[in-house]
Formats: sequence, structure tokens, C-alpha cells
Amino acid sequence: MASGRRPVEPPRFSRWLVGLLSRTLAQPELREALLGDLDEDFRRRAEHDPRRARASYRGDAWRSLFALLRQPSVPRGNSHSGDFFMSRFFEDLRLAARNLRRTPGFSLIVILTLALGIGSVTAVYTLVDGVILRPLPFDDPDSLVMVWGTDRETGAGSFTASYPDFEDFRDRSSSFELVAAANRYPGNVAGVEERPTRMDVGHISHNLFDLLGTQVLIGRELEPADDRRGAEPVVVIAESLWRRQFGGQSEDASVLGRTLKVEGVTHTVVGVVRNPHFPRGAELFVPLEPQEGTEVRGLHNINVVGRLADGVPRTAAVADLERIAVQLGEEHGGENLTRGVRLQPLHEAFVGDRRQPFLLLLGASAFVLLIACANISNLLLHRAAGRGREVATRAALGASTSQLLRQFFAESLWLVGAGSGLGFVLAWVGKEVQLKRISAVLPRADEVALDGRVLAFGLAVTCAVAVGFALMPLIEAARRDLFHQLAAGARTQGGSSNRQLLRRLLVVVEVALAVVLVVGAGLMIRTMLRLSDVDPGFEAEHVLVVPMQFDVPFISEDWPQTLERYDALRERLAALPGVRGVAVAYQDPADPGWGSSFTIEGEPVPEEGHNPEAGFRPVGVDYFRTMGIPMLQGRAFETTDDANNAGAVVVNQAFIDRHLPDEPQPIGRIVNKGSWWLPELDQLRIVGVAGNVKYSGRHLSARPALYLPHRQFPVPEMKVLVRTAGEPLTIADSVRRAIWALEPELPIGNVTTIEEKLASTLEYRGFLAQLLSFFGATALFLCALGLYGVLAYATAQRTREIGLRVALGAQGADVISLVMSQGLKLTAVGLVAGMAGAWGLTRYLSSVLFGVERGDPTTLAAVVVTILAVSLLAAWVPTRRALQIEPTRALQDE
Amino acid sequence: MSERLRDLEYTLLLALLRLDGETYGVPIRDEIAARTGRTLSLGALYTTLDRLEGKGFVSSRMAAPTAVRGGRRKKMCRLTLAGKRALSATWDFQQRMTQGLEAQLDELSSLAAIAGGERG
Repeated sequence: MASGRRPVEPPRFSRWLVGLLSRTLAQPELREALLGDLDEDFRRRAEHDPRRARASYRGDAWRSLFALLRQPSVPRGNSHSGDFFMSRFFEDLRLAARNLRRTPGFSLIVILTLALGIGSVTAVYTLVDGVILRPLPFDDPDSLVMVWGTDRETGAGSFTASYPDFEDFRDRSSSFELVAAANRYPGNVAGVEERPTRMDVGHISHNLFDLLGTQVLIGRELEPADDRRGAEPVVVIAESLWRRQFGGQSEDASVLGRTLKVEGVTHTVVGVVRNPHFPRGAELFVPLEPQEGTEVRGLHNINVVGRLADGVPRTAAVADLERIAVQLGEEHGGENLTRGVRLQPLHEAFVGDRRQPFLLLLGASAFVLLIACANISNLLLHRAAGRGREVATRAALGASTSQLLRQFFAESLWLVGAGSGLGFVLAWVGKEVQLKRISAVLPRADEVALDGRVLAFGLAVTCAVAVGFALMPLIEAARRDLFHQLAAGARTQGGSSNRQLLRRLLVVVEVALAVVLVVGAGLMIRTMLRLSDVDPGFEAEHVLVVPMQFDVPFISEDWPQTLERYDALRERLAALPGVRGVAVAYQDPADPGWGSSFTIEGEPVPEEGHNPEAGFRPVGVDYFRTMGIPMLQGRAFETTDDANNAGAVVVNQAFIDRHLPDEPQPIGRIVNKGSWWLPELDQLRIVGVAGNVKYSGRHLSARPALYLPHRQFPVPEMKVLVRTAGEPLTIADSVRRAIWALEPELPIGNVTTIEEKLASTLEYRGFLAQLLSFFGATALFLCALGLYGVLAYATAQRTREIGLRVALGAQGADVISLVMSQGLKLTAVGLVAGMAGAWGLTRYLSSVLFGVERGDPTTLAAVVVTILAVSLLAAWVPTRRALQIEPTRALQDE
Repeated sequence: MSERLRDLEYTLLLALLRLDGETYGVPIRDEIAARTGRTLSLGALYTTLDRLEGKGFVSSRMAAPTAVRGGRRKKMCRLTLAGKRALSATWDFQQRMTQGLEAQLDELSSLAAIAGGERG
């Protein structure tokens, strides 16, 4: 213990607080005796044990404060012997309620302001907590990482791995406890629901559940033997699916041994696991089929996830994998030569680039709360000033300072209680409304809940606010003896000019915060405008997307029959009323799909491992016409582009711009097969050039694309795209029935429209734009209110002065500039501070901005104009009031 | 005396009686703590003393400041005649109520001790 080094002092804060507050709560003599006793007692104890003495001082000080608050020492002769704390407290509350009802406008404004502030913060925190802050539902989630391939030169990219690469990473690295593979594809599943359905199926290595820490409920998890080629097909199902479709109850093992058909292959259920949450959305898990041979090194389709070994930092693991990647390049050449490695924390992979914008939203809502608090502080100060007469009367009638204080405290309690209660309701409503809109595009939306965690947060915020407001008059009173001042009934000089300064400072802060919010909102609104201006390059309206897949192998003898089935389907659907065209495609136009490498005959051969990639898009006949994609040169596909004829390809304009910019006649040029094409089609002849389609995704830019005729690329998993005359979803049912009439067993996936899909890519930004606009508008409103309050008060105080000026010949314009300039000065200072803050903070928005820079002059100018307009508006009423001052009356007043 | 003393007031008056003569916060609190194991906060002690003073049961004066108290004065209190009367009235009242119950009360408190001691 430090007793020998320095003299032991009582705890400073407690001593300061009890010294401060006892000034208003106790009579001078009692206060002196109490503080003296506290010190004496402390010194006596400190001789034995300084630390316990401090603790004891603290406890004593706080308990004493509480005792003083409960039974303030009363002036002699004023007996309060009968009242108890609780009954007196309720009496205070009752009185406070009556007082507040007497000024309903004030009470309502304070309550609504607080509700907006607390509601905003709580609602946003609910989202932030569920999406970002809550740890992922895995064992020790911080040590989980995704292993991505990169372009070693640039270090960029998030490529999936090839199966052999995955095996090599797993077997050769020493920095991981486990390395697993986890893919997810939609697949046809029979035996789960009445009809065969399309569901997301997890294709995983046997150790994935070990890696995640997924608990096995019944049966077993996957085992190493299941991973081998030729192993008996088995499937593990998630608890949610088990309960929903198999009537799963605890300990009921009857599901084990049942069989399901996954992609036409019979699988036996061997186990039920708690929902693994990874790969996301999958409820069925089958072993990932091993792929062997040298050719599959070029097929990169495995998601690799690893658990770092104890104590191994991520950088060490990257170095370890990078070493292996170099080895693989030396051993196998090809694309392995240029592949680097990047590790991404799983949390980041789940949450993506949502983190910064979400934290920004939380910050924005906190700003709203701060503005709300600043405003309420101002209102309370205003009210306190306006109550001089009431306080004076009550003091004259014998009310003690502590009684007055307790009553102000009770009023704060009402206001904060009602405000936060309403705020929680707003938060809940806001969360429900927003969640419904954005759950599709929000990662971890299922984990968002207004639960104890969030309520605890909200209550903490509320308490901070409540204590602040409750202490404010107390401290204010102790510091400046405000109440005696008020009781003196005075609009006096010293204290009130101080208070005016405080109020002005609060308004400047409000303006600055509002500027930051409005700039953020403005940038998001501009982004949304820019996005909605983007021409997608096709007619996106009135297209129904029907995902389906025939249960036939990718390459099979039955291909001609499969094509006939597709043709029959198209004919059948085209005959439906309300249908204007039908086409099939591997991806709909709004789907960015995946890419494949290629080379162009006659062009310089790129270095090994540097082949360009382009979107790989098998489409059926009529695709371009049905989707409204213009053909710029050459022709679209015809029924003759089939297995009996030469390979054909249609490229888009972006492809020409990128790879054949100087070619006057691209039609007829030959494209050679790249990483993963059909063995028998090595060469494709360019037969047409189509207009660009801007795929969904972050930048909505056109990417070079290769369109391949479905008749030459036997993909069994084609979406049916139906162009309709009217609202597409209204005929979804008849489309489904028509398909089932021909293919009774065919599973049909989730039928949507392209517009919906495009909207969902805008949804997230739209959500940010909307929330920020809401916060911005709220901030502006509160800010205007605050400015108005200050100016109105100042004008009222200067009535005499203004009257004198008018009497001495001041014109209306002089009076206007007198009041307005005061308001504009405050606004200007706030504007400058706010712009600086906005410049610093909008950095966190850059990931979601589109077509607009964060220093966008148009937006900034609009913000300046808006803020000025709002402040002029706020200043107008006080100005008018000043103009109406009649010199004679004003001068008589005092 | 129409008004009976409240628990804390009674305790404080008894402590003053015990300490006999002028005394102040710290010794009063020590006395109560030593006898009952219950440590009052100085704030509660002083607000109660203040109330007792308001009723005329205690009188007080401010003594000279001392260094150990940060230069602050002690508030020296003593029992007044009215205070002594109030004490005896309360004591009398209690005695009437407990008369003939002594054996039973003793038994109860020993039972309470077995069942887990007295409550602080």
C-alpha cells in the first residue's frame, strides 16, 4: 500500500460531490459538521489501512448523500416529522405531473424530442448489435477465417480454391487447427416436402462441424470415410429442418435411416445437428465429393474456411499459406503461378462492408440523441428562467431549496420516463418496419432482436440522460445559487449572460451535428438518384424468373431429350395468356454469374496464368429478344446453333471494347476454350455482338461477357424467364401449374421478378439513405427549434433595448438585421464546424456511395442553403416579434 | 408525550445518554456500531440529530475547528431535558408492552440466533 509514499487523501470525486451537493441539501452548520466528521473518520481509519479507509469514505459519502436527499435538514421550526421518503416522493411526483400538465406544449415537445433521440439510438443499436457486435454463433469465432485466393501481383481478389489446392492447404499448413471446405448450391431435394423442392444444400468436408463447434443432436456427424469417392451417400440435416419437416422431438431418432433424394441420388440421413449457420441458408449437408486429377486444378470452386491454431496470429498463417502457394506454383504451373493467399476473418465475411456504414448509422443516431439532449437542456434552462416568479412565490411561502430541487428532479423523471418509454416503442416499430424491408439483403438478419442486451443498452442511455438532467439543476444551483437568484425574481445580469453563452454554445453544437447528418443524407440521396438513373441495358420490367433444374447429369447421352423437354416447356408457357415471350438462361440478366478464362485466336497469347476472364452465360434461343437486349452487330442464336454445327458465341460490347478494340469486323473471330469448358467444343466463332447489360453488384458496370448457345452447352440447370404483359407475379401460379402439367416431378425454386432482384441490390443503400435522411430531417427540425428558442429568449430580453433603438429612430431593417445577424452568426459557426466534421466522417460512407464523391460540391452547396434557410425560418418569428415592439410600451415595462 | 420516538431517533438518544455530556458524530456512530454492529452513515446520523434538535430533544453548539477535520468545526450535541423525558416515555411504553414477556422474548432471540443470527 502506498501509505509511506504520499499523504493519504480521501477519494477526490466523492469528496467533491458530497461537498458540492451538501451545499444545497444541508444547512451550513450541519454540512460543516458532516464534512469534518467524514475527514476525521477517514484519517483515523487511514492509519491502519488507507485502502479500506478510502472505500469506507466513498460508501459513507454516498450513503450520506442519499440520507440528505431523503431527509433534507429543514429550517428550524418547520417540522416535517411525519413524512416518509416514499410518500413524499409520490407527492413530489404528483405535484410535478400537475406542473407539467400546466405547460402541455413544453412537456410534449420534450417528451417527443427525447423519444426521437432514444428511439433512434435504440433502433439502430438493435440492428448494429444483431449484425455486427454480437459474436458469430460458433465456438471461439475470432479464430475462424476464410481462405481466399488472390492475384499475387495486386494482392486483390477473393477467389475460391480448387479442390486439390484445398487439400494441399489442409495437409501442408501448420498454422491451423482445422481446415475445411464449405460450399452451397441450390439442389433438387425429394423426400423432405410433399413435392420435390429446390433447397440450398451444403457440400462440406467432414470436419466442418468440428471446426465450427456444431453440436450433434442425434446420430452422428460426417466422418472421414464419408468424404471418400464411392462412399455410401449420406446426409446430415439441421435441427430447424428436422423440427419443421420431420416432426423432430427431443431424443426421437426415427429420422435416422430415412432416405432423401439429393440431385436424384438417394442419401441416407445419419444425423441431426444444431443449426450450423454456415454455409448460410443450408439445412441439408452432404459430403463434398472429392475431385481428382490435374485438370481440376484450374477449377476454382471450393470455399475454404480454417480455424487458426492456438496462439498463431493471422499474419503468420498468411505467410505459411503463401509459402505453400509458391510451392504449388512451382509444382503445377498454370494459374497456381499467380495465386496468392488472403485470410479474411469469418466475421468480416459474414458482415462484409456493412460494418462502417452501420457504425456510421449508430453514430448518426447518437448525434440525433445529442441534439435532442442539447435542445432539452436549452428548454429546461429557458423554463427555469421563466419560472422566476413561481419559484419566488413558493420560496416566500416557505418552500426550502431542497423541496424545489426535489420537485425539479421529479419533473425530469416524468419527462425522461415518458420520453424513453415512447422511444422504446418507436425503436420497436422502427426495427420491425426496417427489418421487413431489408432482411433479404442484411446479413444475420435472423439474429436481430430487441432483447435484453438491447434493452440494457437503451436503459443505460436513458439513465445517462436522466441523471444528466436531474443533476443539472442541482449542480447549477450549487454553483451559482441559481435558485436564490430566481427567487429574487430577477432577470439579472451576471448569471443570465453566462447562461445565454451556454445556450448559444448548445445551439452551435446542434447546428454542427445537424450539418454532418444532412451531408451524409444528401450524399446517400444523390447516390440513390444516380443508381436509379442507371440504364440496366435490358428491359427489366415484367419478367418472371423461374429457377429449376432437370435431374440429369451435366454431360449425358440424354442431352437431345433434355433439350426437347426445355422446348416443350417453352412452347407450353408461351401459349399461356398474359405471356409475351419465354427464354431460358443459366443466369437471369440481373445475376452477375461467374467467369471463365479464354483466349482469342490471332491475338497475342498472354503469359501463363494471366488469361483474361469474361462472364460465362449459357442462354437459349430468343434470350436477347425476350430480355430486350439489342444486337449491335451480327445475329442472335438460332435453333441451328446446336451440336451438329460449329460452336457459336455472342459477345457483348464491353468484351469488344476490352479485348478487340481495334477490330473493325469482330464477327467471325475465333474464341478458344479457357479454364472450364466442354471437352468437345474447343473453338467458338463470334456470331454477334450484344449491347451491354449492367449486372447487379457494387458498381453496376458492364463486364465482358460470353453468351453461349444452350444447344451447344448442355447445362441442365436453366432458369425460365417469362416476359409478361402485366404484373408478372400474378401469373406465377399458372406458370407453375403449366410446368407441372408437363413435368410433375420437377422442383421449382423461389419464383421472383427481375425488378425485385434489382431492387434488392438497391435496398441496402436505400435503407441507409432513408435512415440518414430521417436522422438529417429530425436533426434539422430540432436544430431549428433550438435556434428559435435562443433567439426568442434573447429578443424578449432585449425588448427594452430594441424599444429604445426604435424610439431613437432605428428602422425596421435595423431591427431585422439585429436579430437575424445574431442567429446567422451562430449558424455560420455551426456550419463551419459541421462541414469539417462531415469531411472527416463521410469517409465511412465511401463504400456505399455511387457516382458521387464525398466532397460533392452540389450536395455541400445544397446543405449550406438548407441550413441557412432553416435558420432564417427559425429566426423569423423572433424577428417579427421584435418588429412589433412598441417603444412606449417597452420602455414602460421595467 | 403524545409522540413516540422513531427507531433511529430512539437509538441516537440512547447513545447520547450513554456518552453522557457533549459529544459529536464520530463517537456516536462508533458507540452504536460497537454495540449493535450497525454502521450508520454520517449523513443519516446528522439528519436525524437535526430532526431531534428541531423537536427540542437535543441541543447543539459549534466547537473550535481542528486540523484533523480539515479545519472544520465539530457540532457538539447534548441531550436536553425534553430529550430525557422523551426517552423515558418511550422506555416506559416499551416496558409496559414487554411486561411478563421477558422469558418468551429471551427464548425468541435465542431461537433467532440459532436460526441464523440477528439481521443487520
